[in-house]
Amino acid sequence: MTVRVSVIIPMFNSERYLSAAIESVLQQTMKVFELIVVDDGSTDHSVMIANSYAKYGVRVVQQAHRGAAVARNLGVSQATGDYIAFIDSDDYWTPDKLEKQLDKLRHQPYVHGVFGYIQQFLSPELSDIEKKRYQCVTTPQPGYSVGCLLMKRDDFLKVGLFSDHLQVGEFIEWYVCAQQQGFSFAMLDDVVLHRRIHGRNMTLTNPAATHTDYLKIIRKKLQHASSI
Amino acid sequence: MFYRINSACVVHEKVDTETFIINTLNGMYFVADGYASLIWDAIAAGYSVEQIQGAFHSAETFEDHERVLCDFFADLLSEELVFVDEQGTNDASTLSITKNTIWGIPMLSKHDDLKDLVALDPVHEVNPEKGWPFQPEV
Repeated sequence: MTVRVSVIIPMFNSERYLSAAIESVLQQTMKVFELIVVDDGSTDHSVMIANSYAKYGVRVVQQAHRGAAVARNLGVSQATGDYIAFIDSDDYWTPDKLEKQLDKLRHQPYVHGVFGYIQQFLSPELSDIEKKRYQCVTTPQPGYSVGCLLMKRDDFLKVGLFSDHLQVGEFIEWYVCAQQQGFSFAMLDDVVLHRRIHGRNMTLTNPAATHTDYLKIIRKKLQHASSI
Repeated sequence: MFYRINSACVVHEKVDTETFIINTLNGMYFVADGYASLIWDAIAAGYSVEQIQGAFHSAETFEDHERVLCDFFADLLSEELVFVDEQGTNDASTLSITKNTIWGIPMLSKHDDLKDLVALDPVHEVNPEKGWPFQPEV
């Protein structure tokens, strides 16, 4: 039986790194069913680059600039596969990410979603001064991150879409909701995602939004805990 | 002596009598309630350890307040929420604490259930010479 995996890449002015992300999806050891690139109002050449992959079946949908959460949600609404996965436009997957995760899901029927390890790296074009500026843990870490997840689309939708009122922490909030609803997740021992640190990462460029989001999530989580 | 909040990696917010504190570097988060929240406020406002000790002494808040406060400061330090600033100075006015008979001794409520997610997410800018927890000089 053919497994149908939909992959969603939200992007905003990602011309420098987008190709690496797309190609890491197209070069998976198992063929993806569809790759949807959601442009979040880019003003650079990102859309042109994404469209250049149309011959490989890459589909580009566009929206006015509303943030990654809204872009991911638009991608989910367009996705028709049985499974769903996300990757940010500045990261890239390891070649057997989907194959290994699907294998895990098949062998653990009570698991709803599978993560894998994440490994950060400093983008090669950074100057030595810039490289010293960023705290970058390069040892692989458990990747409780949206780009590391594979899940059945129906299960994903049971948890719900990403909150569009958060700018950075939407995945953490989504994951907390999933846990509260009883969904279970496994963690592969392998690295599945390489995360690029390049100085324009959202958590670097907008730390205030990051911190505000985290505090909102924690308050909401504690309120939920005290109400049950 | 002064304690300073590790603002390079610690974020906090007060809601009523509770302060929510996150160490974004390791993903641990904390709730400081009642007196603990007041102490956190005092540290954030730049009061010295001696001023905080004096305010609790004057208010007769709880027994053995010196030891209790020392323990609380030690918790803040061990969780890397604050660091010692021996050279600090302050021009802050006198600190006043009002006794509250409902509140217990100051404690940090510690939570680790989001650490894998929060610690993974942030990328921190650090001072290239001094390293963490110092932010780059502007």
